[in-house]
Amino acid sequence: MDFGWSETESQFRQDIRQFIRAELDKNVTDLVPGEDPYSQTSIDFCGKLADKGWLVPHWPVEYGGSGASAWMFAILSEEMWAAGEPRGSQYMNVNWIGPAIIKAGSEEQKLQHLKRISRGDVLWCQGFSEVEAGSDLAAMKTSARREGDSYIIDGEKVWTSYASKAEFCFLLTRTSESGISIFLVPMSTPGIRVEVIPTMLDVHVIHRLTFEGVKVPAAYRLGEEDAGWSIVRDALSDERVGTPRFARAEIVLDRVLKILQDKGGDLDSGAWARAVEARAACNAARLLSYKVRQSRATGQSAGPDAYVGRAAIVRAERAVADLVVDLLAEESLVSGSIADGEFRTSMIAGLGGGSYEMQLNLISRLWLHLPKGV
Amino acid sequence: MDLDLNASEKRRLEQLSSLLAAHRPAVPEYGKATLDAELLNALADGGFLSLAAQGPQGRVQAMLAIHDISRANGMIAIGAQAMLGSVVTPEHPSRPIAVKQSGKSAPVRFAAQAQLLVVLGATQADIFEVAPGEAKPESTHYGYPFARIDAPPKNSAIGSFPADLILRRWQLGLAGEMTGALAGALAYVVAYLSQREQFDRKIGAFQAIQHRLSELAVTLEAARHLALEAAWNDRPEAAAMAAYYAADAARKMCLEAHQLSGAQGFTLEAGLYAWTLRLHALSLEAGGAPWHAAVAAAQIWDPPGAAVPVVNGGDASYKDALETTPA
Repeated sequence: MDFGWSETESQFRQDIRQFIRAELDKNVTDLVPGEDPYSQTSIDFCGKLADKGWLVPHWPVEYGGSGASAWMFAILSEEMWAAGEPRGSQYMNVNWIGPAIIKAGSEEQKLQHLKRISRGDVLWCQGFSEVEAGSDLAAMKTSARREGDSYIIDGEKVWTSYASKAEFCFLLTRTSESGISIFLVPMSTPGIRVEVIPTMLDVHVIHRLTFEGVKVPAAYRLGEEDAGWSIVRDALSDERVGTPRFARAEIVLDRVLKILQDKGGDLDSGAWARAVEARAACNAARLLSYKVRQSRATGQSAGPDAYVGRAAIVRAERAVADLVVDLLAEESLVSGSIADGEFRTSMIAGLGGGSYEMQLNLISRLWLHLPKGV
Repeated sequence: MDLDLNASEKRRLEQLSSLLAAHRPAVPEYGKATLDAELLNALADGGFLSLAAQGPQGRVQAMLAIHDISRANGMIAIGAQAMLGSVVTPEHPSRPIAVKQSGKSAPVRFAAQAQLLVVLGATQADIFEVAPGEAKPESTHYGYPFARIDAPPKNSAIGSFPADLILRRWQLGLAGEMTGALAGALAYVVAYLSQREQFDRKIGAFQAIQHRLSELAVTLEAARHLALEAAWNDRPEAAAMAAYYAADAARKMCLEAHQLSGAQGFTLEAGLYAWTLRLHALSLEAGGAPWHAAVAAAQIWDPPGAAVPVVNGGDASYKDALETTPA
């Protein structure tokens, strides 16, 4: 085991931090991650990252990457999330949509999509959940029916982030009783309707996508027909630790403690103990997500490490949110305040990337090998 | 960064596994735990008590060994022996060690069996030889032998070390012992609930039970990795945080393991007590989770006016201790 960073890796982290300081205004880095997914700032920033070779450094050279290690990408992800995720929705492109296309895409799809993702000028959304198929994704009903060289897609996806500005959707559909297929669908295709679903999340906008007789060429299908599960399972294990929430939560914790210290507030020993608990949870989440990065670094499947890592990330975000809300008390009710943002993002943490309870189910089955649930 | 075991670590763990098979720790008779001197000697002969002197890789190997020995119920203070032995008694690492805080009269683990007593003060830790009969055994059922012992006169110390070094190694050792016992307790409960049937099905098939076990599994993995990283970097805040997390988890695991195991778990024949009662004892050592947290907070945030009682609850603080400890 080796818990240290190489000189190159440490330097890389410093370089990214310096780049963020130079390129981003403080009011951007202070945002709750995901708060500003579409703006020109975000698109410009991704372009600059791409120019430096930092948008998809972990991708193979032939697809616009520089073949950097999974660890370099882990460092990049942490620094991005800590700075309010200035890549906006494009974090998904580089984390798992692009890699899924690299793994399962046709040459034509690779040509069409990878160059643009690696340049940082395209927005995607993911069409996964349905009203009757949230955690139970296998119950999805949105169908893709083959008609000659095309498919006709009908159904509805909900709670979809980033959809109103997305150019493409990474769409899961049912193509047979037990088979799922993935389509890379241009959002401009006739028959797709996008509506905002009003929520209490304010900053984080989610949508309903309706597909009515949407005709797409068979060439838009990613991988073989009915082979979508294996692609999406792999992609989701990246997604589970793709948002290093612990990196941001740790900063929020430090900031709130500093605010209180600067005000001369005297925390009691119980509050300091909770601060240590929250910090330890962040550190544990970092280490357990590194277990997943490790499998990427060695070209193996992450397996149940991904569920343990995700559960630890959710715990860390919640531990920090619980504490800062208690510490700032009524001040945390003020819209846009640091504790308001942390509280709301912690609510999303337990659902995005698969619900916390699903992670626990999977840990029971694949980590602890408990008898099949009832 | 590499979180997989390397070849040398795998070899070391295989060697340990053979050693533990040859010196299989017996579950101590309830309330009659005593030092397993034979195991201690075998570990010293195998080089396991000198690993912590061998840089980050050595400390990680020491941590892995502490975990496995504690999980196997080795009846020694393996944390202190493996993390402190190479500091305080490098020539004879098999000499049994006990650690206490200056000015505190609380029962000390293995004090009656120890040959060396480490007394942790505000700025330095003193090492004393312990004469037989010097410690007064306490009656306890919490997994280890405990005794009260007074710190000998300072001028009889045979050596002294900076307090921060001894403190963080003590915390590292404790964290490792607790993660090992956590793993032992969880493995027991998972195995039991995977075969125990009620309401015509295995108890471990109920989602309400599965989620609780999964939560414990995440906690164990978190504690184990915090301890391993802290062993690698040997930094005070990391050691304190690892000890805090493990102590907090130890308390929860002790209660959860018994709750989930039902009345059967209380029986001596079940043997669950061998881990849970040790977990409870370890969770309290040095002042327990609140104390480890106070040390960690002082290190990380340097709270103004924080007086973290390291020794006697008086005016000495760990923060002060760090400031006055010679480099």
